[in-house]
Amino acid sequence: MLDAIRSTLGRDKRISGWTILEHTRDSYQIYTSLKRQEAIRAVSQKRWKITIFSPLPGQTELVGQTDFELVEGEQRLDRRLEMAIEQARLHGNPPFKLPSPGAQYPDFDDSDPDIRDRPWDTLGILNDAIEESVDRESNIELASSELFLDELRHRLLTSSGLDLHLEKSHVTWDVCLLYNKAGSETEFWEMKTRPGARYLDVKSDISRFAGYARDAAPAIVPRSGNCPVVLTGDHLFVLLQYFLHHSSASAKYNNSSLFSPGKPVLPDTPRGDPLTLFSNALHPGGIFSYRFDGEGSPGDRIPIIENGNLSGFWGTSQYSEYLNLPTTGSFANFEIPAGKVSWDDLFKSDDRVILVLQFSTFDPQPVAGNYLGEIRVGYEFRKDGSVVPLRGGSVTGNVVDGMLDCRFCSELDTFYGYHGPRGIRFERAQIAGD
Amino acid sequence: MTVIPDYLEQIQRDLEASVEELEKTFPFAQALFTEQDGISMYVSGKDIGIASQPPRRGAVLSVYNGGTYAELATSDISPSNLKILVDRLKDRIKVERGSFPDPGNKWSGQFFSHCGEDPRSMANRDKLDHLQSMQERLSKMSPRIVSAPVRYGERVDRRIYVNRNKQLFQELINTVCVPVAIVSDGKSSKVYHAGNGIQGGFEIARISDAELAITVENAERLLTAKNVEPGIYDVVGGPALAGVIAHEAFGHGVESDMFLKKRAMAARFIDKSVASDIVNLIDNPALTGQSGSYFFDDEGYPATETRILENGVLRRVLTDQLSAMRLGIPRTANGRRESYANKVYTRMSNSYFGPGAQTVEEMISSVEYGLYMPDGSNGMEDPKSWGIQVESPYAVEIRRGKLTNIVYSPVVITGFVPELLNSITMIGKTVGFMGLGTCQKGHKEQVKVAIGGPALKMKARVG
Repeated sequence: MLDAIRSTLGRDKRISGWTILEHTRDSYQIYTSLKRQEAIRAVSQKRWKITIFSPLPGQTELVGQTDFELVEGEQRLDRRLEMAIEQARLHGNPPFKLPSPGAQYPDFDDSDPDIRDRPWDTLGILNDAIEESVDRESNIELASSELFLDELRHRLLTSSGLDLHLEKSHVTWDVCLLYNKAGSETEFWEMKTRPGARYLDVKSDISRFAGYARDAAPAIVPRSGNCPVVLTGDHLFVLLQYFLHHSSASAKYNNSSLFSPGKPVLPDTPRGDPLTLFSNALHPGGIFSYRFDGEGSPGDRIPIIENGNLSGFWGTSQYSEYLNLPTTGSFANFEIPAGKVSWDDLFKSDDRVILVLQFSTFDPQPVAGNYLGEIRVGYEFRKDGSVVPLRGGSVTGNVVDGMLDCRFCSELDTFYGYHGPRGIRFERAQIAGD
Repeated sequence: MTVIPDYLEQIQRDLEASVEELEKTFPFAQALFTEQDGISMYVSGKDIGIASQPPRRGAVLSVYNGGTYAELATSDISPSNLKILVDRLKDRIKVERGSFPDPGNKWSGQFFSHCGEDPRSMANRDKLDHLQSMQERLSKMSPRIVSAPVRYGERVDRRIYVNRNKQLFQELINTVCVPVAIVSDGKSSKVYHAGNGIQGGFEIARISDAELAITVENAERLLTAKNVEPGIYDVVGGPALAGVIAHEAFGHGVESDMFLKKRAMAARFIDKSVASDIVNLIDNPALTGQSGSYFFDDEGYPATETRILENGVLRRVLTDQLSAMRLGIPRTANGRRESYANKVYTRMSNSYFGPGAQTVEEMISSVEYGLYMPDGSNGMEDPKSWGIQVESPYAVEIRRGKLTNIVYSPVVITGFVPELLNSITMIGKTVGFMGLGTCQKGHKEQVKVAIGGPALKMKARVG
C-alpha cells in the first residue's frame, strides 16, 4: 500500500510536495471489574496520513495544502487523491520548505521490549500485580481496571527525501478502587498513560490510590476564601497550555499570541520564582518524546522561556518560515528546572495550603489562562501541622496570576508530558467551599 | 444518497459470514463495521486549513464465552483477514457455562439521517467562501478582536451491525460550525465562541451577524470580568448549563455499567426521589437532528426514549447488553463504541431536562440577588459520590430581579447532585440543545452527544 501511495503521489504533476506518515498500532487490552474479567481485546490498525501540496493554477506564490488518511484495503486511491487535490486547491498559503535529509536525528528509541515482544505475558503480569496489590490493602476492592498496552510504529516519507522510522510504546491504565468500611463507601479513580510498562509501578500506585480512597471517607469541603494552592501530577501538563499556545509560531502568525521574543511572558514582575521552560523531545519518560516530528524535524531540547522572558517561538516548518524563525519542530514535553524550596516546604504557611492531587476535571483555557476545577482529591495543610483530606469545593484562578507569585519545588518528577518540579505552588487561588 | 453502496453490502455479507462461522463455536457472536468521511475547514485571517476526516474504517468481531467478551478489531477487513480473526477466536477462547446475550428480534434495515442542506451536494468552494465571508465580518466587529477563526466540520458516519438476527446499516451526517472571537486589551486575551453541532447539514453554518455580534460582545465582557465571591447563590442557568448538569451531574451516574462496578450511587435510589418533583430527565437517541441521535446502538438495539427521572423520581437507568444481562434490567439503546477499535460501554445519546412552565425573564425577575449563567461549557461526572463540576464561561449578576452590567468569569458550580436537583424551583418552557461536544467515559472513549434542557432556576455553590 505504501509503495502504491508513494508512486501515485510521485507521478502526479499537480503535486509539488508530499509527506506520508504510516501509523501502525497493535493494542492489547484487558478489562477487569470486581475480580471478574469483563473483556479481552486486541486491536490492529494500519493507516497512512498524507499531506499534499499543490500549487494553485495561475498563482505561483500560493500553494494549496490538505491532509487525508487512508486505511488498509483502500481500493479508491486515485479517487481519493483527486478529491484531495481538489480540496488542496480550494485555497493557497505561502509556500514553505519541508525538512530535508542531512539533519542529525537523536538516537532515541522508546519502544518497550516487554510490550513489543511479549504483550500478552506483560499484560498478564501487570494485571496479576494489580490484583495482588489490591488484595494486600485492607477494605479496598478493585472496582475496575482497564489496561491497554500499545505498540506503535511510525514511518515518515517525504517528497524531500526523508525516510524515517520510530517505534514507541504506550501503557494506558484506567483504574478505580473502592473503599468500604462500616457502610462508608468511597472511591479513587485515575487514568494514566505512560511510554512503557517500566514507567508504571502498579504496586506503589495501588498503595497510594488505596490511601486516597480511604481518605475520601473523612474528607471535608474546604472553607471559602483565598489561599496558597499546590498543584501536582498530570494536571501540571494542562496547567501550562497557556504558555504552549502563546509561545507557538502558529499563534504568533495568527495574531493570538501575547508573547514577543526577549520580552517577559507575564504582564508584571513576578514576586516568586521566574519561569524557565523547555520543549524536550528527548526525555525518556515523556509521553510526547520523539525522534522526529510529523514532518521530519529532529527531536531536540528547545529553550522556550528563560527567567520569565520568551527565548523564542516553537514552530513547525510552515509557521517558522512565515515568521523567518528557525524551525524547532512540534512542541514535545514541558520541562521546567528544579526550584529552590523542598516539596515539604511548599506546604508551610501562616494559615493553610491546599494540595490538589486530583481535580474532577481540569481544562485550563489556553488563550486566556483561566482555570477552575472541583477538588476530587486534596489535602489541607494547616499551620498547626495537621493535614485534613478534602473532597468537593472548587479552586479558581488564572495561570498568569498564579505564575506572578509562585514557587517551584526542588524535587523533580515526570507526569505525562511534563518533567519538572513535583509541585508548583501558587500563592493565591480562590477556593469556593463551605 | 439513500442506498447502501455495493462495497458496504459486500462488507455486510463478509461480517454475516464471520458471525455465522463464530456461532458454530460460540453461543453468541456479533460484528460491527465503522467508517467515516467528510471534511474539516479552519479559516482565520491569514491561515486556512482543510483536511479530510480520518476514515476510522475497520471492523470488530466479538464473541461472548459465558463470562467474558473477547474481541478482535482490525483495520484490515479483507475476507482473508476476517477468516484469520475468526480462526484465532475459535482457537484461543474457550466457551464456559453461563448466560448469554439475547440477540433480539429479527430486524434488518438501512437507515439514513436527514439533512437540511446536504453538504455532500454542495461544492467545497461554496462552503469555504461562506466561511471566509463569516470570518471577515466577525474579525471586523471590534478593534479589540485580534483573531477570529471559524471552524467547520462535516462527518458522515457509517455503521453496519450484524448478529444472527440483525443486519443493520446506518449513515449519520453530523455538522458543526464554531466562530471564535479572541479579544485582547494588550495585557490579557479572552475567547468566546458561538455555533452549534447538529445531525444535519450546512444549515449549521448559516450564523447571523446578530449572533456573531453577541459572541464578540461576550468576549469583550470577559476582559473586565471579576472573580465571583464564592458562595451559595440563586442561579438561573440557560439551556446549555442545564444540559451540562443533565449530562455530567446526573446522566453519567445512571450508566448501568457503573452499577456493575459498584461505582454508582444511583443504584440505591431506584424508584426514589432524587430531585424536585418538577424535574424530568430524558435520554433519547431517536430525536431527529440532534448530535447524539442514531437509529440503533452499536449492539443493534433500536433507538428509543428513556425517561430517567419522572417528576423527580429515578425510574430508569441506561444500559448496554452486558450490564442489562448481568443486572437483570431492561435494555435501553445506549451500548456505544467510539469506533470499531473501542469497547462498548453504556453511553448517553441526547440527554436533557424536560420542559416546565416559566420563561427566563420570569426566573430572573424572581431573584433578589443571584447569578445568570446563560452558557455551560464543561463538566465532570462523579457517579460514586454524586459530586458536581459544572463550568460556565461567565455569569451575570442579578440584583432585585434585573441583570446588572457586572460579569464574573470563570465560574464553576460544585456540590451534591440531589441537593442541586432538589433546589430547582422553576423550569423554562423551551428546550434547547447543544451538540458541539463529545462525551468521554472517564478521560477516553469519545462519542458524539447532545445535551440540553430548558432554563432552570436553582440554588448552587458557585466559585
